[in-house]
Amino acid sequence: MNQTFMYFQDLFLTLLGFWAEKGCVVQMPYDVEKGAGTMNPETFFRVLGPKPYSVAYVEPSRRPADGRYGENPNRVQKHYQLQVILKPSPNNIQDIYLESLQRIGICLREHDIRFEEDNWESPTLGAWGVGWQVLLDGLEISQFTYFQQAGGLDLEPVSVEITYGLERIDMFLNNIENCFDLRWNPSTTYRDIRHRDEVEFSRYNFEEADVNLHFKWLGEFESEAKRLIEKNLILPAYDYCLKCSHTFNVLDARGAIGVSERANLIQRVRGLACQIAFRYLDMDLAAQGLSHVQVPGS
Amino acid sequence: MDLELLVEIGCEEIPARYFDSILEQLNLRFSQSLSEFKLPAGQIDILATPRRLIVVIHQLASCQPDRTEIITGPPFAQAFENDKTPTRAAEGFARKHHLRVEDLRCMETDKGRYLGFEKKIPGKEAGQILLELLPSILTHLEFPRRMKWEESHFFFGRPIRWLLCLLGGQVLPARLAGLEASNQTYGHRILDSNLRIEVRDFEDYCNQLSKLHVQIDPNARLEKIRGLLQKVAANHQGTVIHDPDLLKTVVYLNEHPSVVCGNFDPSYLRLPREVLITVMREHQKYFSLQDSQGKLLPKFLAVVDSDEVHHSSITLGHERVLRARLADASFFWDADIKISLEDRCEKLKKIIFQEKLGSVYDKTGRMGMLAEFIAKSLKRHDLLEDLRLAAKICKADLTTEMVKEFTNLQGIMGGLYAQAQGISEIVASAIYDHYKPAAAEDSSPRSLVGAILSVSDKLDSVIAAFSIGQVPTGSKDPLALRRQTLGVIKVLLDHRISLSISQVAAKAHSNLKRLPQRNFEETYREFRDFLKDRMKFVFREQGYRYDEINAVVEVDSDNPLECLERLRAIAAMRSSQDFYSLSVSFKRIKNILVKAGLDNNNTLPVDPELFQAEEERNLFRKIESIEPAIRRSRKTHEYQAAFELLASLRPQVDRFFDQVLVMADDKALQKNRLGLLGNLLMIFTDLADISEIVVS
Repeated sequence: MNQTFMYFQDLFLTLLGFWAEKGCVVQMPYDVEKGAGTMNPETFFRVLGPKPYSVAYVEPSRRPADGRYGENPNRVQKHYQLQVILKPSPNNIQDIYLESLQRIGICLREHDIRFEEDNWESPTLGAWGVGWQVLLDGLEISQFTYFQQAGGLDLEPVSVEITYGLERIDMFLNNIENCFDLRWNPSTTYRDIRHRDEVEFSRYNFEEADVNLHFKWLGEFESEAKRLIEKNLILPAYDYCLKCSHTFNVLDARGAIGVSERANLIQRVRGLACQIAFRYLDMDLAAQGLSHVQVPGS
Repeated sequence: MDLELLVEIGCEEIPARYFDSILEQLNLRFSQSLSEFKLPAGQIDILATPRRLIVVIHQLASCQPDRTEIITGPPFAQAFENDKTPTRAAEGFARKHHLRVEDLRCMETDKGRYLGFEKKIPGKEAGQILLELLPSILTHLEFPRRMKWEESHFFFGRPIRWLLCLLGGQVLPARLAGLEASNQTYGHRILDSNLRIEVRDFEDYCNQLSKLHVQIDPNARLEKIRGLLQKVAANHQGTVIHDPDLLKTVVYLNEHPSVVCGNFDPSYLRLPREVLITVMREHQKYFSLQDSQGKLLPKFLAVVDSDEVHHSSITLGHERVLRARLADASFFWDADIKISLEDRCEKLKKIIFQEKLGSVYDKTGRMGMLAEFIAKSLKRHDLLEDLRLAAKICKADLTTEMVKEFTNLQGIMGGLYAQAQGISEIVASAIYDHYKPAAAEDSSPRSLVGAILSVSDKLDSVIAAFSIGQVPTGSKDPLALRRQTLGVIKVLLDHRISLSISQVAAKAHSNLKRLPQRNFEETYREFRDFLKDRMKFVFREQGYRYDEINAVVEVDSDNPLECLERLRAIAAMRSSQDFYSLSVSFKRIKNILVKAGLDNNNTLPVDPELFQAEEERNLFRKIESIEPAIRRSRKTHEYQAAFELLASLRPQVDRFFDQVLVMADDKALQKNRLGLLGNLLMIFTDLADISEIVVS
């Protein structure tokens, strides 16, 4: 099926090259910890408001609770997502997406490719969309979403988000059953680069993270975000919102969050995200001499 | 001339679970709209694939029929002068309609005679009607979740990407969601690279698409898949484990279905069958196979949207995915089993049952008390020990990795882990079964311990929810209280458990301690009607007639089993002539009493001294003579005997009504007679209200 080895770096370089050809800005990952590529400001802010924007980037995504001390062939506390945002979404976006699969060496006809319902929702970002998981011979390789709301705001125009699970795709392409056996380049494996990371962060997230300190930080990050919102420093405020979210995830992995507390904390982070989105868009529209944001339901 | 309408709405993949409702709505709205527009049509076919909604209307009239309308002007009396010359009013009316007065006639109407004429209104052409109708129907289609994707803000289940619309072979240029209809469609997305083609009519459309790997008829796909599953299973010395829901789902995940058979490592067969089937089904939508002894085979069947020539590479992919899934499941099983269910109970304190109703741990405590109460009231003290243990640990599986991954295995996993951890079979199977019946078709728990545990679980949930005012309204029933109440009734009937629901509910309410916001009376008042409705539903499902059900349930619905027995008795009696005519008499009695302002609870005393007619006295004696026997029958649940005694009243009742005037002028007489009739109703009051029986 695959004559040549698809190195991990070749995979994301090829995909980034593909989307660059389609007119996307190729961006860098954002330097604050986050659970998914969607939380990168290049997605969170750019999908708001009327300005067209297309972007692609690789995002290291941290999910502390998914850590398995480097011992599970499929689960890691940090993985790499390749994220594409197209705003507005082109009519033939599914075809373009399938073309990208061909570019990385997947002969579509030889596989069972399906779009199965999977609607995306991020309670902490006040965001949701409608879409599918894309299955390649039963393996989920991408998430495909038409964003309907972000930061509690209705989106107009609608952006489409495509997220590739890079490890899974590369494992599929190279017929490898353990992600640590992936070859990053001809001389280096995924294990060489990532394994110690997994071991140490799993220990940290599950055993060592200081719970009291994290709760304290959560409060402080939240206050700082609120203070910055008042000063109209929206991008810095968003950084602190992201920090809240990651701190929450660490506490969760540590098993330190009770059930009713969970809902309350999610609500608090969501409140920040919604205020930030609203202020961002409001200022952006005002700068362009456009009318102000309509908050749904008001 | 009749036309054929072909509409294809080309979409991005619509979720499989949407289709039942979409097809029904399309069928209904098209047939209703055509009849509203008086546009005669033959058969309507609604077809669909994940990417297409297809409407075909055969023998559609090209035009609405012409119709005539009567247009009236001035009253005929004021239309002409004496010399027959038209009045100004008549001339004005004619001019307004561009007619001559000679063209007008005298029209007879409900309101009198008027000058007027018959106006011919030509029917609209079908095309003209459809141009408006199509967008309107599609705009109003309902989906579980709608989305927008383009500038015009059209909302639909998934993006629409093309519209094909042919009326009598001509493109009907309907507009929708920024698209204009054409005669073009597309082949299979993968197998034919989405090849664009032009079609002439439905026949041409079917022929071309079937060559392009698209089977547009869901029933044909279903039959194909069913056949292939059987064939491939047989090739692998197995049979498919029946799964109609999964079958229906995969029909709408494919345009060109075929079936591949893959293998998994037989060492995974050490996992329980339920786990293997669930992993395959929930994660991967695979069918499981078993051998002739019913033993699971290390194989699976996947329905894929591809051609047989590509099966070998596809199978490898699916096998690899399942391998990772089974590795996870097997890890969960091994990890879960190490911690005993009893040790897990502590963790249930952290799982909220419902915000205002405490933790799941609290709930299991309440379930234990309720189960004990039920066992004691059934005089089954021998079950107490098993029930206490079962109630305590039955929810512990909520803390296992397996149930976190597959919530629909709750209960089942608890039972399997209990068994694996050496807990007695009776307790393990009660835990395994305690969510049963999970749906209307599902069976009740197998053992009495399981049945009591199931009833305790459900009644605790329902009474707790009612106690905080969480009562289902309309389609909103987030805690599935309707299903759980139906479950309680079904389990009690299946196990022939005779139980006063109000007593158990009172116990359930008292278990809540400080939690409830409403006292028991308030809670139960609302619940009683809710329960009654569910009981009526269950009895109707069993084939009883609604009037029999009303007669029984309306007088007393506290004990479902006892209700059913009264219902059986009344159903057996209803064919008897005496019973029938008594039902008529009882209606009459009820009416008389209601008119006199008396209800069931307000009976007047009877003084035998005041009887005048022989018929009164006879009826009174008859009532007195059968009353103790009826009481006895009621106590021993011999309801048919009671109803037979009731039927034996007929001659006395009939003669009474023939000879006696109840509403006599003498008030004392009248009161006494009303009292007699009241007594007659009273002795049956908690058996059935036979006046409810509809006499045909």
